Amino acid sequence: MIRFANKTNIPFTLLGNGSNVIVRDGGIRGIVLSLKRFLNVRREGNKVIAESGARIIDASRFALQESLTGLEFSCGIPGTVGGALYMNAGAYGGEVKDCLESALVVDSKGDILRVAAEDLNLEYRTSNIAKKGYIVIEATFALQIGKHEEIKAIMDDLTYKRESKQPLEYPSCGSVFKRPPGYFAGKLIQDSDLQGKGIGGAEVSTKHAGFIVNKNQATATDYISVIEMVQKTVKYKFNVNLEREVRILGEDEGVTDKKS
Amino acid sequence: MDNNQMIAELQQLINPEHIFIDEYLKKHTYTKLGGKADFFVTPPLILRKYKK
Repeated sequence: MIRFANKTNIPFTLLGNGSNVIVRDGGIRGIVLSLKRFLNVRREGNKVIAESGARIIDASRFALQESLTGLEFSCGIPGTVGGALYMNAGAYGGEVKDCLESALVVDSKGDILRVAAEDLNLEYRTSNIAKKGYIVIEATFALQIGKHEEIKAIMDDLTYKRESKQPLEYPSCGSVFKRPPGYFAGKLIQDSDLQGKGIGGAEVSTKHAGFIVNKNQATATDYISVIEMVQKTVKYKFNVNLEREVRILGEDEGVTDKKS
Repeated sequence: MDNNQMIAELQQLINPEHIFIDEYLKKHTYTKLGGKADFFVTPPLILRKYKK
């Protein structure tokens, strides 16, 4: 597929399960590749090997089923395994970097290769996967044997925290901004009196200020406008730049159709 | 390459059941936002021999 796109010069975009991404109202030209059929999760020794389209939550639940510890932190992260590697996803003190051993990837030429975790430059909510032009197809997590009831207790606690603090009743892309050094994005937004403020059908969640929700048939333009409003207000009030954690893809509605 | 050629070539690579034309991406995002993809493809994973 990648070789085909390269050969024909057709734009090519990878979309995970769409959990940490905003697609503009004009859509995406060319080929959009979804890895939602790459779902297998299996065990080899103390390793969990998960295909990139599987949800990281499912890899975490599989590890629990197998009494393997190390992936508990990810039990509430809504994205795919591929997306989790792409942004070194983390929550509640854990991150992918802590347990990833290696990844099977396709490079920009269409060749498949195995890359060690240390060669992916996994840092806070980032990696070199995009820079290298890799598409993750499988991840190997090195875990340890644990006690099922202890793993379950941790996961139950994290699930409770997530469900009680996050606005899961509305569509959203999760946490919109990275944590700025020395601050918490949600606290800055809350202290800027932005909760409940919105544009069109999108607004800053009243439940968790770090989330922007599609409350009433928002457009992508509404949603992105709210992101920009938050960034400008926090910059004005606290002189802090909020960097987006979510990717924005595609083109605005009304942009000339490039299809031939 | 026009769309018909493109579709024909894509169908050589991927089962036509896994190719969607002018697919609304709002159906595939957590925000429920997003316009159409020209070609939305969802191939199965078939691993062949890879480089170490």
